[in-house]
Amino acid sequence: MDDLVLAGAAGIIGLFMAAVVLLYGAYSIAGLMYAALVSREYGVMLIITATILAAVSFYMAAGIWLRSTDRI
Amino acid sequence: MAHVLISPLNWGLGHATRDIPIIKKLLDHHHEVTIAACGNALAVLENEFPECRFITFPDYPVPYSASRFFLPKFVAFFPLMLKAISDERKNLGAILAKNQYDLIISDNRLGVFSSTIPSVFITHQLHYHLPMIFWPVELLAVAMNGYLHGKYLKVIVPDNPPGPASLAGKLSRPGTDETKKRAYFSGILTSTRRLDIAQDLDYLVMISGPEPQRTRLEEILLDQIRELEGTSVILLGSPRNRDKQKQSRNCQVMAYASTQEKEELMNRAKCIICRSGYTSLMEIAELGKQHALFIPTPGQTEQEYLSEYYEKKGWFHSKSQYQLDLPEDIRLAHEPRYTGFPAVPHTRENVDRLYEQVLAEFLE
Repeated sequence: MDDLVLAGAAGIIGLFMAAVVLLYGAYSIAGLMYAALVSREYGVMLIITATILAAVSFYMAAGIWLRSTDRI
Repeated sequence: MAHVLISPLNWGLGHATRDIPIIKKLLDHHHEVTIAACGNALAVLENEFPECRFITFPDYPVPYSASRFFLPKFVAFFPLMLKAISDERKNLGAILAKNQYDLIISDNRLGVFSSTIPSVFITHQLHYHLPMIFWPVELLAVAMNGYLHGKYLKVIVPDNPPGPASLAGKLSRPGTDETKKRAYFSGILTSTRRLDIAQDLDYLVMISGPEPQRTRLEEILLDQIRELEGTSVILLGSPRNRDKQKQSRNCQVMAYASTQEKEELMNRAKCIICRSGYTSLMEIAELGKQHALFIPTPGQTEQEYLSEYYEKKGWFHSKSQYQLDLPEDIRLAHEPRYTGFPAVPHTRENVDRLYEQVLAEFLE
């Protein structure tokens, strides 16, 4: 098979796998949050929420930095 | 005399029309040119160059979306695109087996290259612009482009070199060493020429691009154009709707205009209202127009980026079709803060230089 097509196939598989991992991560976190809510462990809920907010902020900050420095 | 295979992408007519000056130049130097394309791109070039050989060469289905959400559909489209590239590679093998070629010119067709025949690639997008939330994908696309460009000896970019006069901004900025080594900035390439005629038309509205957004813009503009004072011509870019042609005192609606008619109208216009597609922008740069209003196709990130870039540079005013207020936006487009594009070398000069500095090496 042509190496361009092979590279494209590998790239698409990689993208879809990354999407699956992301969705599985979101599903697992939602499960943890639900379990913490049911067992009234509000401290755990707070930690999970703070971690999510920190991760999203870091992700967005990285994007803003890349744009503002003209890297993307 | 050498034999050149040239293959433009058929996503709109922009790729085919910007190749016209290159094909003319090759024919002027008595080279044999075979054009491999499909759809309207093939039809336009057949009409323009009856002396060339033509091969029907299918490309990729267009991933345009009916909604604003172009990107998710585009992502889901990748596997189909890969299948089309795989078929393209096989078809190219069959074309190359039947004839001897000295040079392959691919205009944005990713699978049109050979490891044994010198191949060059034409693109104005060395860097794809995506919404910021997808920044990792944008970074990956830079690396992917580097890999793709590595398949070619040269990458011809129809823009001025990166810097203050770059018309495509970050889109034409090379992101990897592979791309940097190969990039040749030819300057603008367009088949539209500057004519020595009077500018006696106040507004030329060119409605183009993929459906259904073309029709949506048509509805919006036909509704608002009545509020404008002065003469106007609206090109619907829709040859099938000839019944929509009409003329009132100040406004003429044309379903379709030939290449020559469009060229004449563009030359006559004092102000042009159109999508911010790169082909239209090169035409406006070639004609040295000072006043234009750009309306990006919703969801097309390239057009949205260019609109924003021109606003920031103070070259032209842009507005989303969803917020368009034609009389007010036309007034803004004429404000002195918008200067038009900086003076750039014209196509004729650019294509002469491109031939001498890049193409001649493979052909003579």
